[in-house]
Amino acid sequence: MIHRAVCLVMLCGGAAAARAQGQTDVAAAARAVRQHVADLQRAERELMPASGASGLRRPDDAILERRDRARAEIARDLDRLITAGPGGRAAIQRLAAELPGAELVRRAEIRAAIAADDPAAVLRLADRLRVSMPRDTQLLRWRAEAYDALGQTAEALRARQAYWELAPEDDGGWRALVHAHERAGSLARLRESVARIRILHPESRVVREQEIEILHRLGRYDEAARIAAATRGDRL
Amino acid sequence: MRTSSPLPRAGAIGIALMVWTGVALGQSDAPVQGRLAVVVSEGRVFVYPTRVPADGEGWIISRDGVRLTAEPMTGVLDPAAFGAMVANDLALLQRITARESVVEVYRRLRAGGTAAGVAQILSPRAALALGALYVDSTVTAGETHAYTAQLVRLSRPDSALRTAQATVRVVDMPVPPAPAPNGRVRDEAIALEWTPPAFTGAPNDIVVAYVVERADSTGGFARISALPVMRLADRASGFRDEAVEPHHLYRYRLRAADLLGRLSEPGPVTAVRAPNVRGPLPPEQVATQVSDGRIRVVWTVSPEPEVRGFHVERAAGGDSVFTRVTRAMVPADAPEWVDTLVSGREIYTYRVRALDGAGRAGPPSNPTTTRALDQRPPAMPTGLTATPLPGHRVRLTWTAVPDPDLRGYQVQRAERDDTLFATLTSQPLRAAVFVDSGYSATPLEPGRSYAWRVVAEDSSGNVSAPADARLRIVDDEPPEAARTIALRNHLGRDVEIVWTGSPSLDVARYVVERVATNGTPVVVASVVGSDRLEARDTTAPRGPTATWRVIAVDSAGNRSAPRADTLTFRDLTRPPSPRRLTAIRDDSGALLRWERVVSADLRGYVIYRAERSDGPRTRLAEVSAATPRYVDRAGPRGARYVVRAVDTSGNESAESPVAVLVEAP
Repeated sequence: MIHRAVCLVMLCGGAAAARAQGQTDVAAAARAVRQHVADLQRAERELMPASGASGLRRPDDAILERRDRARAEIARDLDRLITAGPGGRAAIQRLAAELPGAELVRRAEIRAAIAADDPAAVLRLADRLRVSMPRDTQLLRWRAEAYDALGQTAEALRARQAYWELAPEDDGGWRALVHAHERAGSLARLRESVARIRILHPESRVVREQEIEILHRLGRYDEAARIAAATRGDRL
Repeated sequence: MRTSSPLPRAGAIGIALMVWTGVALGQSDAPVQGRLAVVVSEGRVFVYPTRVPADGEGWIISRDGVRLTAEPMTGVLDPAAFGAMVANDLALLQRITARESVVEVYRRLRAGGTAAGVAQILSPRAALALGALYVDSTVTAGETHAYTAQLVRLSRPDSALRTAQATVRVVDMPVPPAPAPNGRVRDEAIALEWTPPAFTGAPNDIVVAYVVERADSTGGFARISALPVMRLADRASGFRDEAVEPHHLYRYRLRAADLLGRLSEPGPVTAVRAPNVRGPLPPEQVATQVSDGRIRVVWTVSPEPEVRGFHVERAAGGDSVFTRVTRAMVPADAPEWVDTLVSGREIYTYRVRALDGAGRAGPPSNPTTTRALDQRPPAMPTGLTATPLPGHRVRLTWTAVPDPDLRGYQVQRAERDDTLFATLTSQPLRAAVFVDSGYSATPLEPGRSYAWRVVAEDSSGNVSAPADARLRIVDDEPPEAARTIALRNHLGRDVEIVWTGSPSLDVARYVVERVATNGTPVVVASVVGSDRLEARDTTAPRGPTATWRVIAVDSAGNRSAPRADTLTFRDLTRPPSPRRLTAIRDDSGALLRWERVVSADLRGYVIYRAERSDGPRTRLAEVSAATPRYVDRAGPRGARYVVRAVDTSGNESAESPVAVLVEAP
């Protein structure tokens, strides 16, 4: 009984210790993020054009190295915070409020929301960030997944469509779009989209392969063969 | 040397007006011909003499006969001073002369030649240093001046080696526009508008366009209107600045421009703040797919969820003015639009704007330019009619083709044996009528059949099916006359007529006519073909002089002018002599009787008298063939008589037997 009580005390104490240790780690990581964000902003300021100058300064290798190192450190510390659970997420939220211009922190806030399985927050945060980066494909992908999680399939499809049209040669985006259209039963519309994108990217082999694939899925084998032959330069 | 500063930078003189005038003034000792270039820039006149003066020479510049240079311009004589004068232009001069040091550059340019000429034009500083440029800063706008440059030897400044003249008018600079443009926010962009002054037609009313310059709240001004904004007579001029950032403050000003592209000083400044919110971003990519008569415009969907649709704008013919061509909004999930209102092979530029739920349009996308494709031929012209006109011309009329991109009509012509049609119109005709006046120097050939074709041609070069018409040109033109004619009495039996043919190609036959003295023509022969151009007149009366003429007749019956000659056709055989001549004297005189002579062409008888049988005959009279008798009232006793028969050709027969006058019983 005593042993059990001792064990319980030890366990509780270990958890508390572990919790305390975790809080220490989170606080340290948050401090490190603040410090490295400051380093990063300093390096970026030094790379900005001088007052009255028309172009950027000639990049200094030392400044560039400092900037890259700061970015890497921020990413590492933010990863630690994301994996630290709710405490880490709360720390990231505080950092995002403190550092509204730090894009890496704001992305980490979205990633933390994803890790916490909070699609509504993902959407809210992604929309806020999207104002300054409307063509960011990563944001589009996060939004599409969040819409899926919320059951808003039409919006998800639209986000995936926008993502694929911005980066048509990204295989992940294409696969997700095909599955979304399959689920929605709108593969014929996807075929029209591919035909349109082929006008925008006439030299893209990937887009042609996508069109051939979608034609196969639709059972339009003769058209697929014709496009394949045209791509290879065969005579039918 | 008289100069004005600052000088234009090297190679950057704005050429406002350049006059080259060459004056030939003499023979060996007189000044030789020279050229004088005069450039007016920024209210100053730059006078460029022909060449760099050599050592011991200098240029004297005069304006309207008044000498401007107190001493001849010789240029600097020290390379170091030359280097100081050319200053930053030295690098340019080193490239021109392919020399390194200042001394070498100086020597090379002082030697004259092409390098010196190029340096003179491209570097005003070098031209000044070399004594080959005079800058006249004392002119007034609107004046006209005559400049003279004389190259003289410094030892004899009064004798010109070379003289050149030029006359130049100092043109006004454009007046800065006033007041400041009126700027306001419209459709997420800043619209500037200003009212140009009314055209006065005065010589100094030279502004034709404006240039818009922009600066942000603190920076310098930069031109933003790629093309000049034209000065309009009937409405305000305007410019739309679409490249604005939300909530930024911008300052705008105008410069006036003349036909030569010279800009005025800037006008007053107006400040406008861009709208606080922006519409959605435009599509990242826009592309077109061209097919016959259609252009399909496609673009990527917008990543912004608030986008509700798109509008497409189009500019035609390389013009930068875009107009919206979509009436209804293109849905956000179907980002494409087909333009069916394209004309021929016109060049079109498209751009797309996204619209949000409030109907707010964002900035335009990058434009994409393409050329329309038109493979459809226009409709065939109908109702082609060929109407003959006087002067062997033909008027062709047809019904106009209603195609909107019709460029015009081409008219072609062929003759009967031609396999190809020749195009008569160098440029497509806009009107549905054409008068075919024939060839360049001659009208259409009378009597010849022609075929015409009219095809419609559109702006893409597509040609319609041809409309055909035929017409034979009425032959109302006589052929040319036979070239020569020759008449010959053929043994007294007939008249032989020989001629050479008419040069006209459509002669069908020749008509040979005989015209007697009474003027009534008688057709003697009609000769068809051109192998044997001869005829015989077997019915020609012997004796009288007649005219034979040959008339060429063409296939339309037109008769040429006659080719004629005259001949007296005579019989060459004498008639038989009269017989049984008797001469009996009575109260009335000597009565002669003889036996009638039988001859077809007998004209009469000629009576002769003689004193002896073998003595000389005296012609008494000629009597007609119907009266074989004659009374000689003066016949003396013992007179002898003879009678000769004479035919119509004047041939007299042999004498009748001699009759001796006897007393009546």
